[in-house]
Amino acid sequence: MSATIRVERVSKRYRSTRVLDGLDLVVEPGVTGLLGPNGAGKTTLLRLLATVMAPDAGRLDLLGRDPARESDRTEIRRRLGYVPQETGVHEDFTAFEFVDYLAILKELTDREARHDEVRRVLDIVGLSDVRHKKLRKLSGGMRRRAVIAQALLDRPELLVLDEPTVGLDPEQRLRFREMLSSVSAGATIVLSTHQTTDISALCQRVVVLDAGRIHFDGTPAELTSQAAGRVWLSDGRDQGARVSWVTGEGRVRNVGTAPSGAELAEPSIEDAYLLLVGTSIPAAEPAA
Amino acid sequence: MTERWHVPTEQLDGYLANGVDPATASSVEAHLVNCATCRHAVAERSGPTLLRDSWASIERSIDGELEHSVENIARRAGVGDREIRTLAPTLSLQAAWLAATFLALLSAAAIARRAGGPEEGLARLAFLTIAPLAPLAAVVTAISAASEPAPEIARVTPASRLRIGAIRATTVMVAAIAMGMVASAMLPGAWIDAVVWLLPALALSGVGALIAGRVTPTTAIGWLASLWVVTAVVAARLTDDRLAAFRPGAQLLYLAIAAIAVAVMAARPDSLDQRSQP
Repeated sequence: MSATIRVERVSKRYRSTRVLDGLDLVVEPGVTGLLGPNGAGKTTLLRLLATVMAPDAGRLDLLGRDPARESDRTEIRRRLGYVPQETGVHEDFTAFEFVDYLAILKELTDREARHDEVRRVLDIVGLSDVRHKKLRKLSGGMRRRAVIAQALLDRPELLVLDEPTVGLDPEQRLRFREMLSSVSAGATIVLSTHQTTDISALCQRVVVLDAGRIHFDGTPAELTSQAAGRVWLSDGRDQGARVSWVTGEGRVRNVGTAPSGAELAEPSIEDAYLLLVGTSIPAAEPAA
Repeated sequence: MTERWHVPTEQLDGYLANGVDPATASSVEAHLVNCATCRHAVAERSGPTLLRDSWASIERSIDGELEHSVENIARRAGVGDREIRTLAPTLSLQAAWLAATFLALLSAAAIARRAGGPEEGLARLAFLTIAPLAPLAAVVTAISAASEPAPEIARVTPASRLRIGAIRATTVMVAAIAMGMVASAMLPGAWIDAVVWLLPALALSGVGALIAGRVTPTTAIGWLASLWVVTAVVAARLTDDRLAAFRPGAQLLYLAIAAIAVAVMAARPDSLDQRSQP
């Protein structure tokens, strides 16, 4: 399978802060998830992949083209769908008008065909019934779905989604997963999320970023296996634990270097993620 | 008991294929209303495709008609569908502001008309200096990200930034200039003396459009407006001619500035993009 994204020694600074630090990444068709704490560089990387901005150093290749060249950039944008982390929307637009407006900017010129395509993507995200309501009258989750809908216009080959599930309730999140599975055939999808459950459910590949560098790159199962033998249950917080918290059953779940004879637990992808980056989470004492 | 009449199969097929004359179609429809057997036959013969196409056609007409009255008026006036949608957010953001500017210019012109004597000259200078600022502010605001319904998403579409910026800027500039012209008609004296603010307006709007993508709208409008007001006042003081900044020599300079600004935008459409653009 050929790569649709090649990131070579890419760096990006915001004033004196280095956000991406000589990053190398190759992405093939399928769903790739970016995990990482706030400030890890996920949004910056996604904005580079969406051609919102250019790197300070290094080289990008998107869909076989160089986004630094204007003609290539326009061609990439024709085949791109993008959901930014936060976006202001003109709330006087209805959901239909909003998606139709972006369909015009995506060069869908024939009015009838464009309207058919707008209805198709609004149907995918479940907004058909409210498509003529103004965005200001829709809930935050519905507005988010309208933003997701525009990214699906014209069946993009590259879909860049920055925390697409933020603002969605659990049922909407499930619908989003279902929707992404239905549109992902043959496409390259890169998404960032704070929800490790999204990664397990959606992604064939997960990349953990921290401080502008890649700390893990593999399948969700491989990430989970990093925590094998390093998760245990106890009645109080263990000194060897890097992270620990009280579970619903009142016991303490520890992640770190397990003491001998510890009651080992089945690791989850969240445990593995915390092992990689979760050193700053305060430990909790068990309830009395 | 007489057996009930039903629409013959060939006629029903003709009706479903839009192949019968209007009178026959009408009589078939009248019969279908009262005959469950024929309605059933229609459902069997047409299949789901016809129903789906009918619904799609209804949806199309609803989506086409549910547009704002202003959009419908613009469409009837020959404005293209894509231009209307591109302009809608700009107009809704700027309508109130443009109306307020119009009232302010009308008031300034009315004051100049009533003043008479030496005050009339001062009031005229004030009007002519302030009038070009309305198109400047309208153009810069129309091009800035504040006028964009979804800035970060729109930025990564293949649409031409120059074309969108030009549509929005031209529309609001024409509206602002038209309002200024109406207000100018209230100024006392010759008509030509009342419209000498037009070329300064074009020059300021052109430069404003050029720098709108590089600085915030407030900075662009603030700096250019200050520069213009200082120029007009200083020119009046230095030459002892209140309208020195509006004489033919200066007008030629404004025309040249406007032409250069348009040429630069046409040559470098990315000049209309925001600063973080690659």
